[in-house]
Amino acid sequence: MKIPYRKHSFSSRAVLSLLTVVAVLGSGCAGPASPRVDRETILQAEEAAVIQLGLIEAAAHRQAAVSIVAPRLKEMLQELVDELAYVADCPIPCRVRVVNSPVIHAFALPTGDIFIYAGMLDLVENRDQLAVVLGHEVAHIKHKDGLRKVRQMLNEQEKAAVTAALLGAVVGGAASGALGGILGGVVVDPLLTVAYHQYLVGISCNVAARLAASLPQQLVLDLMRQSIGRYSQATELRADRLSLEFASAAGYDPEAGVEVMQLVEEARDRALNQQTGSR
Amino acid sequence: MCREDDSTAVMCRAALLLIVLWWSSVVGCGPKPSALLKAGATHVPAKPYENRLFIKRSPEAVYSALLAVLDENAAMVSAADADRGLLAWCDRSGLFHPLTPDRPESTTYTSRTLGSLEPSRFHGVVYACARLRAHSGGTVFRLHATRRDERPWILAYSNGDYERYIFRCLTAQLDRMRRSDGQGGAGSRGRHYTSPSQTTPLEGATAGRGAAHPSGDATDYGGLYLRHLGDVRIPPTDRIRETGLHEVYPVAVDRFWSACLDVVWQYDAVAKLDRASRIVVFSHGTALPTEADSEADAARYCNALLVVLAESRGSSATDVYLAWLPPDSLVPTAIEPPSEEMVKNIAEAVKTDAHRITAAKVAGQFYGHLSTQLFWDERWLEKLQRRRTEEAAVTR
Repeated sequence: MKIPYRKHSFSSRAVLSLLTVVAVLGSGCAGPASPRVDRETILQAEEAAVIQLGLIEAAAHRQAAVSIVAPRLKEMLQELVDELAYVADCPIPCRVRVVNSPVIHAFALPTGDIFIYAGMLDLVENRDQLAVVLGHEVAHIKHKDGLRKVRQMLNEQEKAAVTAALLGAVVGGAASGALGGILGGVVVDPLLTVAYHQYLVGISCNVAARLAASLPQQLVLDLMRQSIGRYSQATELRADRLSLEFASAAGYDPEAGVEVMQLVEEARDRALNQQTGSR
Repeated sequence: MCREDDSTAVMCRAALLLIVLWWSSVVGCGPKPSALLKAGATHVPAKPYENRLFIKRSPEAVYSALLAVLDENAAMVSAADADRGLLAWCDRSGLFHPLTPDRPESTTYTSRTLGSLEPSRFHGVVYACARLRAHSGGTVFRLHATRRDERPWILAYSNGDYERYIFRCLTAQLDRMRRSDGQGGAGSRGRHYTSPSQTTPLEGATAGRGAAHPSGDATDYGGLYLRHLGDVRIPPTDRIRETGLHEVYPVAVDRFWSACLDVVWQYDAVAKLDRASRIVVFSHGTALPTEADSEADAARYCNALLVVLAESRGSSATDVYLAWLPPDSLVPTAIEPPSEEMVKNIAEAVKTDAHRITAAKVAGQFYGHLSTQLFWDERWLEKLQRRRTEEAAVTR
């Protein structure tokens, strides 16, 4: 009879002591600890959200876009991407997808998916130029530019509200293929012509309209507006510089980078002339 | 003593509660993001979407196994070309989870749950198409699946669950077939299936050749999708020839047909196929603006049914005819590009002629896709293997 009493008595004292410790610790730590941990939680949430959105984005693009069924071509491109990712020491495995579309376009997702369009393959003239284009996308993946862009966006807006929306979107699965801009959609052409811009908007619409009906309307509007957004000039310049480094380290001629820029410039002028002529 | 025991137990519980509350205030206000993601993300893809599977079996064996899987799942085969490795079917939507969540305001929405299970909340039909190609001593199996319901402007993409389900079934079926072959006989579960005839038994009374059966009140394709595109029939070749856009491709008809199937299997649905006459009826769509001077977000997805006929012209050329099947008649109709006036007031034109405009846009896309699929090797293969220095040497 006494033993349990003693046990309880001991427990009571232990509990009271523990409560005292808790009270002391709590008064000293809870205040300053919460903001620090909350920030980390948000950062984790952002990263998790970006990866999740990247998965959705990749799935949407793979289903909405028509691919070229050409295993030999895909193997050739994958081999090149593997070379570049190796010399870049890219921590994320990169997978290349070829989209059957005439748009001069290539973009990367944080998941490691690189989408290259038929228009870009038409544009480049040799393997060295292609290495520079793909090296640009590997650079975005390596440096997690998609995540940086989301963070930048969050800093520009009300952080908590946007984070909540982003998390809500991910938790609810509400994201669309129009998220390319947020997640790392990159138009290699630095200056969008009117025609090209409209074309891209059309493509965004096409993908988004396929998904839009199942999304809350306002979210769709926001996402579609974001879809034509791009990285900052500094981010693009860094990716350009790194692409030359990666291409060179992989044994390709970095001079090809200049040629690609010229080709893009010429394509842009042609599109502009066509646009002007059609008016 | 008993009272003291009780009071001690209450104190213990209170202390534990306090500790828990304090701890939760220290570590953060809410659950961890990973927990949030797991808790709410019932249909969010947890792994990369994959619609491709390499199988170390011949395309014929995989094709046969796929037919068996579809038979076991009571799926309806809508189009088949065993020689070229294409199989399209309609399936129940219960196995299909959309990539993005369904809209609760839809008329088809129900919030029923079965215990802790949340079944797919929409009825509708899954349109799937598989493309099989021999590669590296095995078969590359690719699958494209979307879900449609009576709302013609809605098309749901898969989060990958449906594809994984088919892959699992297919692998299991192939194992059964292998065991069955090893035992020297075909068991009922491992039997080999042959390709369905042109009019598969599952297509029912709506199948067959000849004039289409218009659905009467249809002003769009919504009803057709719910009826498994059963009203769609393969039109007579002379009618397609009379009305279709005509192009001549400088390739043999077999090569053209293979490239054509490489493109259309990725479209929204393959409705019908006649492999002997090389006719395929497919559905695909595009975004159209809905208001004049609208922003990008005012676009709406619109479908069109098109039919392609490929006929041999000697050994190295193919005559290709492409026509549109309007929703009210489903009879081959000429595809006309929108006039300049329509283009100027595109949003107005869309109100009255959405399907006609869509047909023209989809036709343009189809020709573009086809051209790239047919000639990618001539366009890129050599130059993408060539180095810049070699190019300069050649120039000098």
